[in-house]
Amino acid sequence: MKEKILQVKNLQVQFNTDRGPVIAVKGVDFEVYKGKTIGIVGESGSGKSVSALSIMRLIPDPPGKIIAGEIEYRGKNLLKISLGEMRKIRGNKIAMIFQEPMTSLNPVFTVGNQVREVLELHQPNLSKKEKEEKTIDMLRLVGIPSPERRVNEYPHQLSGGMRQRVMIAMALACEPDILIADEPTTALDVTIQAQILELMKKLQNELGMGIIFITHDLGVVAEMCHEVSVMYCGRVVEQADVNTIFSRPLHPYTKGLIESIPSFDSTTGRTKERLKTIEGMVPSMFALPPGCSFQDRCAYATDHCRGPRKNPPLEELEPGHFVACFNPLI
Amino acid sequence: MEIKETKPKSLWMHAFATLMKDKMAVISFIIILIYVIAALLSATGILAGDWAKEVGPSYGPPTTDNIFGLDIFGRSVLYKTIKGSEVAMSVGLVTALFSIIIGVVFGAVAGYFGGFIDELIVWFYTTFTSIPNIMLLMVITFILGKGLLAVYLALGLTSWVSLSRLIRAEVMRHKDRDYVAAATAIGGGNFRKLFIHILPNVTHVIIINFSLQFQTAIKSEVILSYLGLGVQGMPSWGTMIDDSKLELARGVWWQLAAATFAMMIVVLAFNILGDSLRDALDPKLKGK
Repeated sequence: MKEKILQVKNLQVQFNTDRGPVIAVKGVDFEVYKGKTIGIVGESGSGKSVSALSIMRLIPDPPGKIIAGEIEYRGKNLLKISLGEMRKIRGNKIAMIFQEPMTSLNPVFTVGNQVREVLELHQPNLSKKEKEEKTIDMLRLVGIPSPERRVNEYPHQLSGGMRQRVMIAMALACEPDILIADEPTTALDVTIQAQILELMKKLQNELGMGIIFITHDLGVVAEMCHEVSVMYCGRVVEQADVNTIFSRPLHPYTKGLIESIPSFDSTTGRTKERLKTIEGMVPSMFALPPGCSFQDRCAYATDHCRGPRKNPPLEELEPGHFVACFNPLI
Repeated sequence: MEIKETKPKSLWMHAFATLMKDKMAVISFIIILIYVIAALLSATGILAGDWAKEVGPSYGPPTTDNIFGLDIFGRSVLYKTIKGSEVAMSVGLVTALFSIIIGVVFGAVAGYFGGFIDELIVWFYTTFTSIPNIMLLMVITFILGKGLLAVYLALGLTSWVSLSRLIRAEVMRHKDRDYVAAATAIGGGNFRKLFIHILPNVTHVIIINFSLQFQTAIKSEVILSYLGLGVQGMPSWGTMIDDSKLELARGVWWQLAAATFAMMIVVLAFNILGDSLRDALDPKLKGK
């Protein structure tokens, strides 16, 4: 039985810029289940990071503001609780790892110090020795060799992959329910990427946390996720389990994304054909076309899509498969 | 093959090692140390305790017994100079600490919180600096009455603005860094983020400023004492220079020379040390 731990309902986030307000996230819904990974996929500016930061209430305010929606974590609306309560949740129940391991650690403290800080914040009852032991245990858990020595090292002495492991150790020190991973492997090279993904999967099996995995790399999604939400211009355009998304994409955008993954012929090592791309660019948030936001880049767009109507609503076209398109590829 | 284990070095260990390689910095540091020891010994009365005693004729020239000569009352200028170092070092230390505390708190709070708080603090120190410093110094000493306490307060209250500006800019630069976002994500509050995460990253600015503030304070104290607003009842380099105004016409140059020399050396040492500290702590700014 799947246990639901987090539900995001109709989340809307607005940014006030010099050129006027922009709604970066326009009503996003998704759920996180215990021990499962949900992937949020999209191009830059599609609102995937903003959605994830909203869960932690980390949107810088000003200029950002969550203008509507609910984020329900175990029966509590995270948008309604006090900042003090939120602080008790951050790093304790919901933890986050960032894209840039090179800059996400404080350069003047040892890595041990930074893992220990999480314990100091959320488990102040532990004795000094217990904290020290737990810190070393965490570093060992994330696969850092000779952690007894590494605890006393500074971030600049570690490679990017090792630093990301430290970030994961910090995030998991209090055994959170939910781990938000905001493009955790983007800044790493491919071999290290594979190691980090493997590590996250292993830790998920051991600790049973739900993961929100944000990425623009569909290959990583196929590897990591159970459920996938595809975002475009601040909206979820398709949502389904990972097999359905890859075998039967119903939204032209998802189809385009999957087709633009390079495929290699394993015998010759060459690509069979020219790599497909999605034509055009993401429209500016200031000049969205009336109707469907994807119309300009969509090969299937009709006058129906370009009409002065609103964006297509997200509908359940098959059981568990949600699509927001006027002309789904059924 | 044996792999040599190196103990990881902190930023401060690195900086210290760099500093120790810099000969001028080491010499400057030793000079400052000598001044500090002299000041401490003088304060506890071990050295120059009987500076007020008449040891020879009025305006006695430098001899082997009294290498800096004697003043109008036949007191040893050497002892007076040492006693003066006590005033100079205490003024330097207290003023520098005082101005750093005010400057760091205002600068950090303004830079971190931004918005209205920032505007208020910036408005305050801009207004504050529009008052000529020397006027402010005189007003404060007149209000508090002459004496060491007035000098501490007057110099401390007038010297924090430049550090405040620096700290504000540095904190602004750091507050949007990823490690601060990461600190929020593990549940850190504003106080923790500002004072535990950001401030240690800007400490080098504070340390460099401390060494520069220290010598500025020494010079300012000399000026105040020269103007008759400084320390009363004990010699300071400023009052010694003030005294020698009348002596120079008679060809008595040693009091002026001793005080100026004592001040020049310590100020120079602080300047060189400040420069070296900057090089050691902020490699991007290396002037060499």
